[in-house]
Amino acid sequence: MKILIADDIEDARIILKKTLESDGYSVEAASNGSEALRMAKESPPDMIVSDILMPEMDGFELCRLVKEDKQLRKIPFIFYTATYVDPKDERLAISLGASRYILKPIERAEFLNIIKEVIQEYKEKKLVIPEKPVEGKPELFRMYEKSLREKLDKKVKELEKGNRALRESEARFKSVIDNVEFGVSLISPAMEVLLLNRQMKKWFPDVDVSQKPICYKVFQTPPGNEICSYCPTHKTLSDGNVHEVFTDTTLGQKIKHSRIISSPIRDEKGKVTAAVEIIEDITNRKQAEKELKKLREHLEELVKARTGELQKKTAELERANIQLKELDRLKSMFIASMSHELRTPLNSIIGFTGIILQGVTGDINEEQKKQLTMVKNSANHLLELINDIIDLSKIEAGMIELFIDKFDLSSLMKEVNDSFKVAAAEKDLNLTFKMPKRLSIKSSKRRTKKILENLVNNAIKFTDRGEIEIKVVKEDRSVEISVRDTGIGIKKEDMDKLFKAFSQIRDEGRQFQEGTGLGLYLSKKLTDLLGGEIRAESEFGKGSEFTFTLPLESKEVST
Amino acid sequence: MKKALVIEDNEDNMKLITFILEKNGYSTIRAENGKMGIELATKERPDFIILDIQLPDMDGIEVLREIRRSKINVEIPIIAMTSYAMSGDREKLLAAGCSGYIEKPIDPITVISQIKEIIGEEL
Repeated sequence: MKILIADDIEDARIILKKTLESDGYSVEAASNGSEALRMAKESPPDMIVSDILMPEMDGFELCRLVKEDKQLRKIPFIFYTATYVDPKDERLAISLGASRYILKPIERAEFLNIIKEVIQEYKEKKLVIPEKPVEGKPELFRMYEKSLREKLDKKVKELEKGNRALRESEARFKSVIDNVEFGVSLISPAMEVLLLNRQMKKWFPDVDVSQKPICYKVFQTPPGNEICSYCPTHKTLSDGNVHEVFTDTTLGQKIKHSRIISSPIRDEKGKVTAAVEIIEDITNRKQAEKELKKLREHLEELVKARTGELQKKTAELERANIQLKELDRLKSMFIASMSHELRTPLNSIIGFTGIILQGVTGDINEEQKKQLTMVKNSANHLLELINDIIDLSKIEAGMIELFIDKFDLSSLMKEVNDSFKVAAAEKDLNLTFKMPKRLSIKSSKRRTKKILENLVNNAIKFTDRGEIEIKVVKEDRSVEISVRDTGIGIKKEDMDKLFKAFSQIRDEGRQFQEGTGLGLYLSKKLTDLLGGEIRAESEFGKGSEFTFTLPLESKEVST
Repeated sequence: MKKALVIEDNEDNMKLITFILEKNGYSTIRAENGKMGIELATKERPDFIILDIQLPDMDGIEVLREIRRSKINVEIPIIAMTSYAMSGDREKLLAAGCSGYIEKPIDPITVISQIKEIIGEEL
C-alpha cells in the first residue's frame, strides 16, 4: 500500500510518515499541492493524505485537481489538518470528493483506524466519487475563498505581529551587542564571519559580513591563510566547549592586549552550529596592572631599604646600649671608689681632731682649741659636700639606698634641734617646733633628716632676726613638714630656680653664702624618691616657707 | 680585757680606730689585709672583729664569709666598717653574716657606744 502525503511543515511530514510506516504502509511525501500532484501523476498512490494550507497549491485545489483527473479520481483522498476548524471547511472538503476530514491532534490508533476504514471502503467500492466536476459549485468556492482570505488576513496579521516582536527582540539584541565595549562576532563551523557588532566594525571597518568572509583572512594583519595559532573559536567549534585566551592582537590597526572568549551555539539537537567570539581590549587594564606591579616593586624596594636602615640603626643602638651599660658599670665603680677614697682621709682628719679636742691626748690651750674646731668644721663641711655629690650620683645611677623603716618623728625633731640649737642661738634666732606628741611613719629617717637639715640650715643661713618654725601636720595618708623663716625671702623671678642643681641665688647686698648649691636639688630628688612633694612659698623681704610631704608609708626603690 | 681584731688597710684609720678602742679599755690586734685578717681571726681568737669592707687584696664580704665558714669563730661579732653603702650593700653584708656596721667617717665620741651595742655590752 503506498500513501502519498502532502504537508509543507517538515516536522509534520516526518511524524505522519513515521506513523504510517509503523503500520506497514509505504509513504511518499510532498511539501505542497503541486509537488503532490506531479508525484501522483508519475506514480499513482493508493491513497492521498493532505494538509490544507500549503504554499503554491493548497489542499483544496489539490483535491479538486485529483478528482478531476480521470486516472487519479478514484484514489481515496483524506484531509488531515489543524488549520481550519470551521464546519464549512469540512463541507467543502467532502463536496470536493474527500473521503475524510481529520482534525489534528488525533490519537495515533484512531488515525490509523480511519485510514484502514477508508481502504476498506475503497476495496468494497463504497468510495463516494463526485458525479460532476466541482466547478459546478462556484458559490461554495466563493464562500471558501472569502473565508480563506479572512483566515489568511488573520494569519498575516498574526505573522506581522510575530515579525514585529521578532524585529523588536532583534533590535534589542543588536542594541545590546552594539553597545558593549567588547567585540562580538558570530563564526560558522567553516570559520565564516556571520555577524559583527559595532565594536568589531569599528576595529575592522573593511569586513563585509554579507560576503561571509573567512575570519583569519579578514582579521589577521596582514590577512593570513591559516587559522590563528591561539584561536579559541576553532577549538570551540571542534569540541563544543568554552575557550578563553589572552593574547596580543591587532585591533583597529593597533597591537592590543586582548582577552578572547569563544562559546558555542547549538541547535535543538545539541549540534554546534556557530561560535560567539568575544574580544575584550585589556590593554589599559594590563597597563594599570603593570604600573601597579611597578609601584608595588618600588614600595617593596623602599621597605627593603628602610628595613636595612632600621637593622643598621638597631645594630648601632645595640652597640650604643652595650657601651652605655659599660659606662653605667664604670660610673657605679667610680661612685663606689670615690665614696671610699674621699672619705678615708676625712675619717682620720675628723677622728683625730675630735680626739684632740676631747682632750684625751692631753690639754690644749684656747687658741689651739679654736683653730682645731675650725679644722673640724671645715672637714665636716667638706664631708657634707662629698656626701651630697655622692648621693646625687647614686640617685642618678639608680643606686641610692633609702633605709625604709618605722621611726618616730618627734625623736627626729629632737635630733634636728640638737644639731641646730647652737647655730640658731648664735644668730639669736628662735627655733620652735610644732607637732603632734607622737607620730610614727614608715619612711627613711636618714633621708628625711637630710631634707629637714637642708631646709633648716638654709633658713638659719638666710635669716638675720626673728624666728624659724618647724611644723609637722598629719594628713589622711601623709605628713606635711614645713620650715618657715622670717628671713630675706625670695624674689618671684627666682622661685623657679630654687630646686635646680648649683643654682644658689645671689643677692648683691649680701656676701656669698656658704653652701654647695645642691641642698634643695638633693632635697627635691629625695622627696620624689620617698613618694612625696616639696614646694616653696616666699615673700621677698619678709620670709619663706618650705614644705615637703611624705606618705605615711614609703617603699624602698628597687634598683 | 676584751680583744678586738681590726682589719683595715689604711694606716691612719687603723691608728684612729685602735686608739679609740685602746682608750676605752680593749686590747687590739691588727691585720692590714683580708688574708692576714682571716689567719689572725682563727689563730688569735679575738672577742670581736672590726672589718673594713674595702680591702686591697680581697672583697670584705669574702673575708666575712671565710671567717664565718671557719667553725672556731661561729659566734664572734663582726662589725663592718663601710663608706656610705650603695643600694643593696647592707643586705649583702647581713646575708654574709655581719653582726652590724658602722659608717665612715667614724665619730670618735659616738663610735664606742655603737660598737658596744653591736657586741652586746652594757653601755
